Amino acid sequence: MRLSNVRVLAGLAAAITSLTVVQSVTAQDWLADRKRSEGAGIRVGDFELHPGVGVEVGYDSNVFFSDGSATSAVPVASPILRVTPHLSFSTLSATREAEGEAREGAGAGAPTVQFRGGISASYYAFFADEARNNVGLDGDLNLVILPDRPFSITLHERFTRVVRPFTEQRSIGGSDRRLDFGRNENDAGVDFSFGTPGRVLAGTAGYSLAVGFFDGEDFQFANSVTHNFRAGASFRFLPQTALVYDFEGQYRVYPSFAPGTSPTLLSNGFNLRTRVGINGAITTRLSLSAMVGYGAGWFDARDDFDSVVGQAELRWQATSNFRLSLGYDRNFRPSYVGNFMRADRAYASAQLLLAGSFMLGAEASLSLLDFGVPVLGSDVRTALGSNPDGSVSRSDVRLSGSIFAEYRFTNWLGVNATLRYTGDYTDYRYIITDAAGTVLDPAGYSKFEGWLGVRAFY
Amino acid sequence: MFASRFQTVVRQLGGTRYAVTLALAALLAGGGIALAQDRSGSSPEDDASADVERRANLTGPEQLAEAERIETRANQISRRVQQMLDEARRERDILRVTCLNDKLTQINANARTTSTRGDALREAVQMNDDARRDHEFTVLTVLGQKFRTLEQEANQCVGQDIFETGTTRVETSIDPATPDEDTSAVLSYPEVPVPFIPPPASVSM
Repeated sequence: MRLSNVRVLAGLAAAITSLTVVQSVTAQDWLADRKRSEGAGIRVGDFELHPGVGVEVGYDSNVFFSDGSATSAVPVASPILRVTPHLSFSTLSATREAEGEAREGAGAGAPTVQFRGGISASYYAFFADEARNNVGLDGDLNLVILPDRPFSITLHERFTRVVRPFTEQRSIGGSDRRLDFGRNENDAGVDFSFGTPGRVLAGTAGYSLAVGFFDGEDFQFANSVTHNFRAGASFRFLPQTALVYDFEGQYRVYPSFAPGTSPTLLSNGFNLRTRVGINGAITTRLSLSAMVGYGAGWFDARDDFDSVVGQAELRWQATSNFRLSLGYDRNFRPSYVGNFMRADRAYASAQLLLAGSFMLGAEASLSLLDFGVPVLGSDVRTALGSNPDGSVSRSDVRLSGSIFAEYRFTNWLGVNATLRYTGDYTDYRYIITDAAGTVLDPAGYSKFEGWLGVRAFY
Repeated sequence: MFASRFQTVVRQLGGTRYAVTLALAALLAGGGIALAQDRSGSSPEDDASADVERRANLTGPEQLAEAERIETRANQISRRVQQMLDEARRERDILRVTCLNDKLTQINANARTTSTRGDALREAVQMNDDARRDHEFTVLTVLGQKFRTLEQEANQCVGQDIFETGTTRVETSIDPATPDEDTSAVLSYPEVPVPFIPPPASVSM
């Protein structure tokens, strides 16, 4: 079997087992997962390159997340064209080395340095006039010094630019200007890893600095600088299980925020989360992740947060081609409304691979979201909105579900389709003043998306 | 008895010269058979007794020379075992130290006895006291055999290494069907797909 075939099949099989843990801000699942976006690759010395491009046409039923009620902005639906060239690069992968493609001049043992990097750009062309065409970007670099050693250092850098709208675009003061929804974030940091031979005991400690900034003048108030401190440890035992611990501290400031310039109060604050649990196999078919801990957020103004946080996920590898996951998590994170948002989420996902060339995935989640009391940026005593019963706290129910399918004609060409629904159900209404005067604008929304695309990758 | 009967028979046959020749041959053959039987059936203890008896027939000067050889040999064995003991102590091999120490103590005690018996032998030779000379020499010969035994035992003293298994090597085999997961990768929370930011129109509030 040719190397390219081996790599593609291995990638597909690995994708089946990794789909549930892929976390990314990129819109396309296949782009977020390197195992699926990389083919045989091109070897250049001790490096390998993986170019690719995807062309998709889609439809978004609610580009600006409008509620659709009489007092909200009119929902805008739009066909969308999305073109995404991408390139990833790395030192020789383990797969190549396993196939006997040794590094030049390399002896036995792990290399001194390993790195992976990638860059992609997604051009969005909205056929509806209300939305701006724009280009999203995603670039990352991960450099590991002394990999697979008792002590190693990892330097990482990631830049993301997301351009799709995230809130309503209303007529302000009678004008119909189009908002710029570009959001950019750069996260750079270092991690130090320690481990015994065989990684039975392992630990990490690291720091990163994240800078988030918006393109549009209307959202400059939300620019942020975040210092992230993290640490973790694991103790591994048979069969393939580990006791794990992690800690995360986060200090976030909003340097551009000033009273009167923001629709909502943003407060600098320190967030802490620490968890302990177990992660790994129960039987040859079942595996489990279960963690519980404590989370707290202290903010300069208004509400603080503290509560139990945790996560539990049960995975069933029914066959080598089918995997089912069920999970629940409880978390909190900083929010632009109400300082923080607590989320209780239940979810399920399933992946199926047929005949080595057809992949089918489905996932669904139901979240209960509770916010700190949102208040106006100009007056910390005035609520940002209210519920029909007069209360000013905000609670949402978010429902989302998606189905993804991909068929690969060859090792480098595939066609895919995605259907997705996202709905946010809440009674909360923002108090909005625009061309129509002061209105109560429901904060909920409901949207469908459908995508059909073809992609080539090598 | 068997030989005289044989000679009688030969005489009856009338050949004196032949008879003498045959008798000698028979004696030699019979003696050889007897010697072979003795040697094949003898024990080390028997050999030692024979050795002592044979050496007891030595003259006085010969016994003195043999006594000095035994004393010299005793000192050599003592020094050699002492070196083995020192080496075992350097290696902190407590089992071997204990064993060698015991053998060395016995060797030294027997060496002192050998010296005393050697003096007594020299005195008996000077006084031409044959009975005492033979007695002292017999004791020295037994002591010489004792040294050989103790030397062999010292060589057989074993150390810890015979009880040690060497560097432990653990081989682990995992069922290939076990889920291939990175257990150190802690499950992370999903990113919020869309930030909750109120419509910008509300800034006018």
